[in-house]
Amino acid sequence: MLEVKNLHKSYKTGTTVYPVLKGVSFKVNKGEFVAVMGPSGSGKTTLLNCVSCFIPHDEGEIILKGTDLSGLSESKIAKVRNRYLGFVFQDFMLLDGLTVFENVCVPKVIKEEPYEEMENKARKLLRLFDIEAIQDKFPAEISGGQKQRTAVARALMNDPLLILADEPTGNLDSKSSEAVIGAFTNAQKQLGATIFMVTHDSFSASYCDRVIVMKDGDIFKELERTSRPRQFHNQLLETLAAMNGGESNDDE
Amino acid sequence: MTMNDIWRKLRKNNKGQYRQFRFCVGFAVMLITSYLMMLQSPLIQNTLPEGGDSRKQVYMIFVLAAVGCVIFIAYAAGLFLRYKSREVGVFLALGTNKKKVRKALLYEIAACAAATSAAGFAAGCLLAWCIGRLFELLVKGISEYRFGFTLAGFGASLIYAAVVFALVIGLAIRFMKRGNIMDILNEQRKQEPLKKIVTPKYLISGWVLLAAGILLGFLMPTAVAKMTGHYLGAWTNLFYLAALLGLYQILVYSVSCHRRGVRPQRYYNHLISYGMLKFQGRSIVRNMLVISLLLAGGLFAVFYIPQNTMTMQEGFEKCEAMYSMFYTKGAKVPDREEIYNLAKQHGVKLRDYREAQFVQAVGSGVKRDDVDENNNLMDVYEEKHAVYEFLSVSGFETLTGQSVQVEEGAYYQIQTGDAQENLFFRFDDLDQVYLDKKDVFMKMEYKGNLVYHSLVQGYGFDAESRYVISDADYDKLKAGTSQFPRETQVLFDSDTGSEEDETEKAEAFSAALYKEFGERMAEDMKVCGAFDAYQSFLAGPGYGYAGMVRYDPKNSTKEADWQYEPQFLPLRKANGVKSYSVYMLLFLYVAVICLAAAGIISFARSQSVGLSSQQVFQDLERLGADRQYLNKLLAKQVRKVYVLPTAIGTIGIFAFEALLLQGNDGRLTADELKLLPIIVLVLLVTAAYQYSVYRFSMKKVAEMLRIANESGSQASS
Repeated sequence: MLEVKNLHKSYKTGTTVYPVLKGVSFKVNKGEFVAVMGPSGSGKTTLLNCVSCFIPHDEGEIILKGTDLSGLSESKIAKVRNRYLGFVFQDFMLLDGLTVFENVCVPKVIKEEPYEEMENKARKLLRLFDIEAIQDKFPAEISGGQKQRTAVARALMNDPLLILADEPTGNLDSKSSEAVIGAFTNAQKQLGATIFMVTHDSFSASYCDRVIVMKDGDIFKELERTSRPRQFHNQLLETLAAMNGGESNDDE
Repeated sequence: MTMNDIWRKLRKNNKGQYRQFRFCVGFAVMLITSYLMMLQSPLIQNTLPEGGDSRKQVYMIFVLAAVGCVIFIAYAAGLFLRYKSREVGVFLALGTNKKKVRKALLYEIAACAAATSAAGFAAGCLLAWCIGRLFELLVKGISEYRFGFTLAGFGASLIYAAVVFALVIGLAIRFMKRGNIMDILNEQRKQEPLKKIVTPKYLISGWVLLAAGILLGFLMPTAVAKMTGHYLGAWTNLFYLAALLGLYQILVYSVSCHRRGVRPQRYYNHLISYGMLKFQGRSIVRNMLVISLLLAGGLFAVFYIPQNTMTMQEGFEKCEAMYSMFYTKGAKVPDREEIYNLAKQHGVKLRDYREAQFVQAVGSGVKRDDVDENNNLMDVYEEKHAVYEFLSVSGFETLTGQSVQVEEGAYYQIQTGDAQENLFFRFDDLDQVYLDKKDVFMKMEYKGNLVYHSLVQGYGFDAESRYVISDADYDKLKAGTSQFPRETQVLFDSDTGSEEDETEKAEAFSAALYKEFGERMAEDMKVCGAFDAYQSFLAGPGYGYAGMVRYDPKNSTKEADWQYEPQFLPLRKANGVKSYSVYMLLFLYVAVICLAAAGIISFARSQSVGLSSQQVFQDLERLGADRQYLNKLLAKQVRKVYVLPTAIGTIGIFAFEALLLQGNDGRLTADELKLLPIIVLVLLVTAAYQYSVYRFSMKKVAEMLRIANESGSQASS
C-alpha cells in the first residue's frame, strides 16, 4: 500500500544543514495498523509530514499504491490528500462552526460529492465510532475523546488508502486515548483501513500490528506484534529502554 | 524590568494589531471631523437655507456616517481587546493583581485612542481645509462665502472625538470586568458566535420590522395628518429604529442561519463557508450594517445632483417666455425702447414684448404650520394673511395670449401645470381682499388655476401667490388700495436659434440687461426671496428678513437670494449648474466621504476575515482542499462583506428615494420618472465601485493566506 524508499530530508539554518531523515525505507501493507515511535528529534514527525506531502523531501520515493508522490503538482497532491489519504491530528483540527455530523462530511464536501451518499456514509461512521448521539453538537460542546473520534470518522469519509495520524492521543487522557485507539482498530477490522500512526504513547502503539522505532533519522528497529497488546506493550518498553540506554521514552 | 517595560515590548511585538486599531479610530475621527468642519464653515452654513431640505439631507447623512463610524470603532476596539486578551490572561494567571493589569491595559488603550483621535482630528481639520480651499477655487465668483474653521465645528468635532474615546475606554473596562481567567485566556482563540439561535421566524420578524419602520416612520405621519389633521410630531422618527433593528435581524439571519432544507446539495456545497461565517458572528453583522448605511447615505447625497439638475432643466423647458422681469412702480429699470436698443447692440432680435401691471394687496389666508397643545395641526384663518399680486384678465391675456373668462368676485390662481395642494397650502385659501383705502374687504371665490410657468413666483403659494381677477374687480382693487406698490411684469422673447453664435449673443444681451436692471432697481425691490411685505409691515424695522437680500448685478452666476431677480433663460442656461455648485460640491463631498468609508470598512473587514480564517484554511489544505477550492471558499467569505450590504444599501435607497419623490406631492411626475433611470445608473456605478474594492480585497487576502492563484486572479465570480 505504502512504500517509502531511501527517504532523505534535511533542514538548513544559515549555512548549517541538519539531516533529519537519513535514508528511511519501509512498507505498510494494506489493512495494516503501523505505529512509528522514537525519542524527540528522531525524525518521526518529519517522516509523517513527508508522507503527507505537507513538506517536500530531498531524496527518495514515497509510493502510494504504485504512484510515486514525489514531484506531483500541487493540485495533484491536494487530490491525493483528499481522496487517498485521511488525516488525524493531535489537536483535532475540527471546524468550530460546523456540527460533528457536518465536520465528518467535510472531505466529501471538498470532493463535491452528491449529498445522499455523503449523509449515509457519515451516519454509518458516526454509528461505528459511537458518536451518533452528539452529531448535532459543535466541537466546543464535546470532549477531547469525542473530538478525536469525530476526526477519525472524518478521516475515513472518502475511504482513503491510508490514514495518517499524528500523535492522535497526545492531547487526551487515558480513557479517551483508549476510545480513540478503539476507533482505529474498529476501522481496521470493520472497514479494512490501513493506518500509519506517529505516537510517543507506547500504550497506543501496543495495539498496532507493527511498530517502527526510529532513532537519529533512521529506523532503529521494527517490531511485529505476535502477542496480545499487554505483552507487546512490555516488549515495546524494553526496546525503547534499550535504545535509550536503559530508559524508556514514554514520558517524552 | 517593570510592567510598563513589558507592555512596551509587547506593543513592539504586536505592531500590526496596534496599527489596525489606530487606523480604524484615526480614520473614523478624521472623516467625521472633516465633515463637521466643512458643515459648520461659513461657506456651507450661509449657502444652505435655514430649515431647507438640502440642510436636512446633509445633517441626516451626517448622522448616518457618525453612527456608522461609532459602530466601526466599537468593532476595532473589540478586535484589539481580543488580541490583548491572551497577554492579559497570562498576567492574571501568573498572579498579577487584577487592578494593576486593568490600570495598565486602560493606560495602554487610552494612550493609543487619545493619540490616534488627536491625529484623526488634526488630519480631519487638514482635509476639511484642503477641500474647503478647493471649493473656494471651484466656486470663485459664484459664492461670496469662504471656508473657515468655526468654534461650532471645533466643538462638535471634539465632542465626537470624546465620545469615541469614552466608548473605547468603556469597552476596555467591560472587558476587564470578567473574572474567569480561562475566558480571558481563550478570548483570542474564541470565535464570535451569535448568541441567538435564529429561525425563519426571526427573518420574517426582521422583514416585518423593516417594512413597519419605514411605513410608520415615513408614510404614517403624512397619512394621519392628511386624514385627521393631527400632526404626530418628531417622535415618529423613532420608527426608523425599528427599521434598523429589522435590517440587523435580516443580516444576522443571512450570516447564521443555513439549513439543509429542500436543497440539501446546495447546502452541502456551501457547508464550510456557512460554518466559517456563523462563527464570525456579531462583528461581521455590525460591519455589514455599517456598510449598508454608509452606502445608502452616500447614494442619497449623490442623488441630489441629478435631481437638482433635472429640476433645473425641467424649469427651462416649461418656461413660455424667454425673458421675464418685474419691478415696482418708480424703478428706473430699462423700458421697452432701451431693452430693444440694448438687444440691437448685442445683435439680438427681440419679439413679442408685452407688459402688464399687477396690483399688490393684502388678502386672507390660512396658516397651517402650527400645532395646538394636543399636537393637532391648526388651520388658522387670517383675514389679513399676506400680500398677493393681482392681475386683470385682460392683463393676463396680454401677457400670455390666453383668453379667459373671469366673473366678478371670482379668481384664478396662476400656477405651474403640475402644482398640487399640500398639507400647508390650498388653492382656495384666499376668500377676501382688503381694500386699505376704504378699510373694507372684497369677497373673492376660487374658480381654478391658470397655467403659465413664466409668471409663477417660487412655489406659487402663500405670499408668492399671483391671481387673475376680472377687469372690474381689478379696477376696484386698484382704486381701493395704495398700501403696497404696483408692479409691472414684462415678458418678451428673442429669435435665438440653437447656433452657438446666436446663443452667445443672447447670453451677452441677458447679462447686460441683468446688470442694468440690478443697478437701477428701486429700493423696495432689494428684498430676499423669503421677504413677506405684509409681515414686514406688521413687524416694522425689526422684521427678520429685512436687509437679507443677496445679489450681484455684474455677476449673474453668483448665488442670489433676491425676490425680484430677472429670469432670463439664455443666462440661466449658460450659468446652468454653476448657480448650484456649492450645493453640488457639498453633496458630492458627502457622497465621496460615505462611499470611501464604506470601501475602507469593507476592505478592513475582508482583511480580518482573512486573518481569523487563517487556521481554517491551513486545516482544509491538509484535508486536501486545493487552491481553487480555497479561493472559492475565500471568495464566499469576502463576498458576504460586499454583496448583501451593497444590495441592501443600493436597493434600499432606491426604494426610499422613490418613496420620497412620490411623497413630495403624492405621485410620481413624468419628470420624476425620467430621474429613475439616472438613479439606477448611479446605483450600478456604486455596485461596480464595490466590486472593484472586492476584487482588490480578494487579491490582498489571498496573498496574505498564500493561496493566490498563479494567474493572479483570485476573485471567482
